[in-house]
Amino acid sequence: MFRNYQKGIFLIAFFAILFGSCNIVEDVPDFNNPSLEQLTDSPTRVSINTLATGLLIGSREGIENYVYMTGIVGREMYDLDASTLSTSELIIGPLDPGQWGGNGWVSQYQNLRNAKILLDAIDQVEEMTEAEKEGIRGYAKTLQSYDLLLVINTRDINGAVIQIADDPTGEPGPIVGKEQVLSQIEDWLDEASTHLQNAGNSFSFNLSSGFQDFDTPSSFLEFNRALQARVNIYQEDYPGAIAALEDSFLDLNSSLDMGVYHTHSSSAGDLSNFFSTKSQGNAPDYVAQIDYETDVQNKQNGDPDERFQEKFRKLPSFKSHLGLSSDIGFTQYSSPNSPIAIIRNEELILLRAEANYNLENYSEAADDINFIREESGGLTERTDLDANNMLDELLYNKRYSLYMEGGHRWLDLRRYDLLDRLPLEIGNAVVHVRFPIPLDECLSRGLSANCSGN
Amino acid sequence: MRSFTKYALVIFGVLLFGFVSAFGQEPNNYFVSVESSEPHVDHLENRISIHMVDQPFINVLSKIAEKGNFRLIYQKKDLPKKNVTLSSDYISVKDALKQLMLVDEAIKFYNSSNGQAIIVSKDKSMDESDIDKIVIDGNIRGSVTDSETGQTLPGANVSIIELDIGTVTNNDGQFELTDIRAGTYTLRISYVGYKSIRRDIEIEDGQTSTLNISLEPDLMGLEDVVVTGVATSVKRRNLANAVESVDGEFLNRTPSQSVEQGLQGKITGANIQSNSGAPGGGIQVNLRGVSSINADSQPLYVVDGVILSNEAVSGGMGKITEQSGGDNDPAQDNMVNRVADINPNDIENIEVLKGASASAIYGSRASNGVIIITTKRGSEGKPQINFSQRVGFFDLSNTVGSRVFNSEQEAVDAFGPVAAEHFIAGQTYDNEAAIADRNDVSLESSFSLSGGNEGTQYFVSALVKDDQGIIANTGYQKQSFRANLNQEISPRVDLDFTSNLVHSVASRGLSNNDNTGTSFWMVFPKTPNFFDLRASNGVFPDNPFINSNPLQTASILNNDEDVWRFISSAKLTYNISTTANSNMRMVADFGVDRFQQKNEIFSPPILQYESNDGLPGTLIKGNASNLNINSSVNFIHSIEPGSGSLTLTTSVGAQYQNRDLRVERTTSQDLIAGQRKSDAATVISVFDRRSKVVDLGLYLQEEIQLFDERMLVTFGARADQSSNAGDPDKFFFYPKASTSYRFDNVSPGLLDEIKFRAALGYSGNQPLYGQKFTPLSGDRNIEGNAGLTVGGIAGDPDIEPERQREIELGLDAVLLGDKVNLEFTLYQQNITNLLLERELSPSQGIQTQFFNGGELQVQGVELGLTFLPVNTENMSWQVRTNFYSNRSEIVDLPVPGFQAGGFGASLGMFRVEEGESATSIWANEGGELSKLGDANPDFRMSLMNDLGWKQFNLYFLWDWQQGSDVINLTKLLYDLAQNSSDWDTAGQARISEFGFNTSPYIEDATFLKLREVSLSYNLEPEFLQQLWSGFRYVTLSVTGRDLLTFTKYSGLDPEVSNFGNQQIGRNVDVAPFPPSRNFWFSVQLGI
Repeated sequence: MFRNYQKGIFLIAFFAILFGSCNIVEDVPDFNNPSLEQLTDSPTRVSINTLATGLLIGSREGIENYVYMTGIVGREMYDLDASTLSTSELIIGPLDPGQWGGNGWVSQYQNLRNAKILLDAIDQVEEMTEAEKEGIRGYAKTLQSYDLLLVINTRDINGAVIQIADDPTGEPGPIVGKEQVLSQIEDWLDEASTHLQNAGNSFSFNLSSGFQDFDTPSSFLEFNRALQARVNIYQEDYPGAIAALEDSFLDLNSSLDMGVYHTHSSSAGDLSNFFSTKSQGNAPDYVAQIDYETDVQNKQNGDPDERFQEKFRKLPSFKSHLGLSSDIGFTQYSSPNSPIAIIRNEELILLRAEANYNLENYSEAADDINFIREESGGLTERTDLDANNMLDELLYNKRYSLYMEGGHRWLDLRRYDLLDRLPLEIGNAVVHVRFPIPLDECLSRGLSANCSGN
Repeated sequence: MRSFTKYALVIFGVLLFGFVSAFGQEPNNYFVSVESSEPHVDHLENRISIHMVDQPFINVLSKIAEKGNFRLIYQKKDLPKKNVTLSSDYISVKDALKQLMLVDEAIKFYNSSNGQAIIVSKDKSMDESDIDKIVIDGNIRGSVTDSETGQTLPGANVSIIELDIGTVTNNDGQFELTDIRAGTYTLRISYVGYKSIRRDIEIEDGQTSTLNISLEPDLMGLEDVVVTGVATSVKRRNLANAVESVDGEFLNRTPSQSVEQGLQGKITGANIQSNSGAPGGGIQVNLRGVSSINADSQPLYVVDGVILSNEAVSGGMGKITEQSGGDNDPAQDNMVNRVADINPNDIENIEVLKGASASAIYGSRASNGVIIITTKRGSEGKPQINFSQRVGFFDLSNTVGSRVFNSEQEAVDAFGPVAAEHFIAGQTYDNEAAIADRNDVSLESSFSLSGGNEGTQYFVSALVKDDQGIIANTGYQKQSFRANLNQEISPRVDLDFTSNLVHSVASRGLSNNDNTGTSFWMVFPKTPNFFDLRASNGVFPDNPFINSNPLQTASILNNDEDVWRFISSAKLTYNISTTANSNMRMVADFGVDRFQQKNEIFSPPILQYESNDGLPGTLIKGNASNLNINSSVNFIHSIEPGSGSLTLTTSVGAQYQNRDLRVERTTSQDLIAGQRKSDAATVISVFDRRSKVVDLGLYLQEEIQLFDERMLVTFGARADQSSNAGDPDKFFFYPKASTSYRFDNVSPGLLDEIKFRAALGYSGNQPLYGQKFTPLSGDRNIEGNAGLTVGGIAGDPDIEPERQREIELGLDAVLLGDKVNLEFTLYQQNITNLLLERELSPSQGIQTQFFNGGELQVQGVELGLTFLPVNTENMSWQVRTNFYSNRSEIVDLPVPGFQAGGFGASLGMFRVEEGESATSIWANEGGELSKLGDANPDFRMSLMNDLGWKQFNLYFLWDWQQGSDVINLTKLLYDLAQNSSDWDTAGQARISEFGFNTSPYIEDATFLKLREVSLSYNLEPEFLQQLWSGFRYVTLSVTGRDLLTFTKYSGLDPEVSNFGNQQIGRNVDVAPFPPSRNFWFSVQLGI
């Protein structure tokens, strides 16, 4: 009798556990992040606007690293922190596609994915007007063009990927050559331009203060055209550049600083300007390349170029690492709130000069160059500019006007095949011409390292 | 219900059927007794009234015994399976029994000698008249003594196996068993710490047999009981697995800050290494090599049934060091894994289940092994007090050293023009020694009180520990209070209750990799030794070479981890039924582990480096709260049919676990007027993460001991669900089977005993929380506008646990007249379904995806040898040596080889590549990425000597690692700064190849360490009695830990891991906290 009782308890307990347990293990949600499916399945006006802002945040994500890498390769700055090993790779090399050489790619493409998610979602959302949707499309395509431009700037003739597939875990698109990438960017910018023209008077989302004068579809279009002008210059399409500049915000009567910026801030959740933490104090890790002091032109009163005075500062002593040394620092990014320029009036004027120079409209070109010399540098007008010396003067002005704004010195010298003008400070220094395609990009296609789009 | 659930149900059903069959088997020797309260002399003539109509025979018989105040003794098989009617008033017991005899002729009744029991039997040799015969039973008397000292042993158990009766020896070691029917019996005598023995004994009517037994001490621990299931155990000598156990006494020979530290060198197959010399923990336990690439790396810890949280939560040091350049990679923050909170002094015993073949019953979290900790309990007797006071100090044991500059020109070449201002020929300062020069007094007081009576036993302990670190503002404090209570609620119900409250404060300084020039040993390479960093008149000089003075940092910066933790368990054991040879019980337990970890890092604006980022002053406040709850219900049924030669133990149960961790952190920079307040800052950032896991496990296990405990067969299975798996309803199934066979007395004196064993088991390692989700990142804003961006990682909605299969073969032998004990084990682990990350094409915007795939294999050998060369009354000598070696291989890798640790090709990295060892170190050699080393040692070996002479005891433990490689980036830092001590002879050559050849920075980490030394003296008992009669013992001892290290490794310590607890990516040396040795003087006394 006791045994039956015993067996009974046992069996009841066992089956109670077994069946009772079926719903014990709950489906615990992700407490830390919103899910992608939720957003793409049923987009709302609010979620679309959040994605639109995300695109701006995503675009800012990689900019410091881009400015840093191209700045070092183009001998605008050094990183003399002995524990950071990027310097040796960027100055001495070789560029390793699995390490520093693979940088300047991931965050830009991540933002191209952000743009794709936004563009897909915008087709499904119901609670927005067509004009608002067009505004988002124009905005998204302009920013994605900018991100892809940064990629091809570092990769140059190694090429890049222009196809963003529906499924990010599936087969990736091919790596295509530089020309095709630039023409894709041009097409996107043109598409964006059409969308913006149909976008009404305002955007449905908030832009940052970096877009202060460009936060309506029509003014944003001027930013779009400014980018188109830069792309056209890189394509050596000089008439196209002149046309684009005419529709851009180029204005000799406005501030040279008027333009579009990535804003930074030390507020919670916002992004501080990373350069600010490393370029302060008496012995900062980030210093300017020393030739900026020796190459500078002087004003009539013997003082150096205003731009040099504004953007550089003398350090109390030399700082060195790996044989690189410098005693000048840079002041552009002195605060965690310092913005980083995307494109601004001063560059547009110099782009127009460059287009005209290449179109052999030397006097127009000289006018713009002299405008910048006087307005920005406080220098006297040069009356001797001609076909022979104009390029040097143009490059001088781009170098000092656009210091640490995204590798302009390196990109410009490369375009004119003048990279040998960059100093080889130490015995084993090299000037990298371009960055390799990142290792994972090659491996995920079954290609060997250092693959390219050619 | 999903199909897998059904499948699992069917399997459980089948196993259940087997269980019930075993359960329902007719045992052939069931005894039942009905106790009487008072003796009656004229018992058979007692008159009773009885009215039973058509009742089972046994019911009627029981009623007679009850009314007649008799005990009833019968063999169940003897009872007729018939119904009986007996109805009569005032009938004598004798007559009533006679009526029953009519039912079955074969039935006979006997009266016991004391007249208190009726014995029922079918013994054919007796006739009907025997019912009147007065049987005179026999008795046994005897004593139990220690075979070596001859001292009597009070409290030894003496039992007659066949009759399931027993007694314990009295204070003089004497025992007596009375009223035993004549016959031949087997007597079992056992006592804790001695080998139990069996003796056959002949008992004759009316005679008293005398048996004096001497027991041999069980120096090899073969009689120790080892936990083999969730609620079952077997003796070590019968085990079918290599289960390691360490008792509290051995664990605490020398004081340790954490349990894992106390285990170093004591477990075969366990690679236990500290990640740095920082006080308060951060130690990795790796059992039987690599068992995972990306999933959890540490064993499962179970303390008194509580599944312990061993989380390592970063205190946010990375906000100061920016170890990974802005991103937060907490792995480099020199974290403490929380098992460090346990007070080692409370531990009675630790068992280590090293692989799936032993740990399968713990299911989907067991593939890194399981460490089962049992804390001390009280025992019956008068209260006992143990008290120990230790006084000691810590001392820096190694420095790196730096370059000596011979001329100002050399100094200027290396450190720039500023060097000229400070260089004075021949003047050098040892800044490393200066920062770690503290030898302040450390104290540990430990107290315990235990005792109890038959129904209640208690153990209460308290610990106050204050270890002073070698660097200013570092150290470790712990206060622990424990109360364990065992209460018998009724003869069938026991409640065991444990509770432990711990408070610890670990002050850990700044160490490991940085990008800000703050971590101490990141700054020393960049500071030439002709500059004196020490304070003069209380003011630290600014370091002119790098904007940071580590001596100033150490003296001002606080990095404290303050933990309050409560661990408690309640276990209810309900004895559902006990008979002479079967037992059925239910064990239900509930455990809770709650901790609150508060971190505070305060870096005031006054620090030299604080001005570097333009935001002087940093305050990081972290708060992690964790709640682990687990509960289980288990049924255990054991049967010992026959004469004890066969035992069947069946257990079945369910276990529920819930783990919930929330980590919040606030970082405040640019502190206004240097205030230590989160809101008094201009830049404030916050971090908030939560993870939660719910698990359910169902298990069933059968343990069968055959041939008088010579053979053990175990099989069982566990089915687990987890919310971390893609499908939380899916059951994952982990079976196991093992067997062993032991040959006794093969060749006595030479080969005393040999056992062969084989085991197979499966276990799992769960996906980590979040690996099934594809997240969007929603914690960034731009000027207050919130935005969503893709996270860069794609989860796998079908993710499953990793799965380990382990086969273990072994041989245990006792040799040379019990002087040598040998344990030899071979094993192979195959881990499939590895949690891997697939590198996607980054141009598609998502870089990695989690998935299951691949296979990892580990093969190894373990050898444990205990030798007792001398064991006399005055002198004893015990030697124990452990040896193990294992190799891993990535058998199958469905993705291209990938980096699984370290920094990269020029800095050295761990790379997972098919066909290679999982712990391979790869780096550039001749410009090509090549395999240059392996972090896995060729072998590990330890040697323990324990010498006793009269009242003295000398103990020491050597720990040897052969042939593991470390990536020494601290050396690279010195070379990059042209400041390495061997710059002229070798450093210059090394750095000139840097980027092209990394091999100069991959160093052999072979070491031999003197882990523990202890010399103790027990005061003579006579002398003690003169002092005070209450003393049980007083011991004085001098102990030390890590006193000597022999190694060619050029860094601070070959035991190092910049990335914390990692199965693959450890052995990276980047500016670790320096190692120390410690010395203690202790007084221990018992009252």
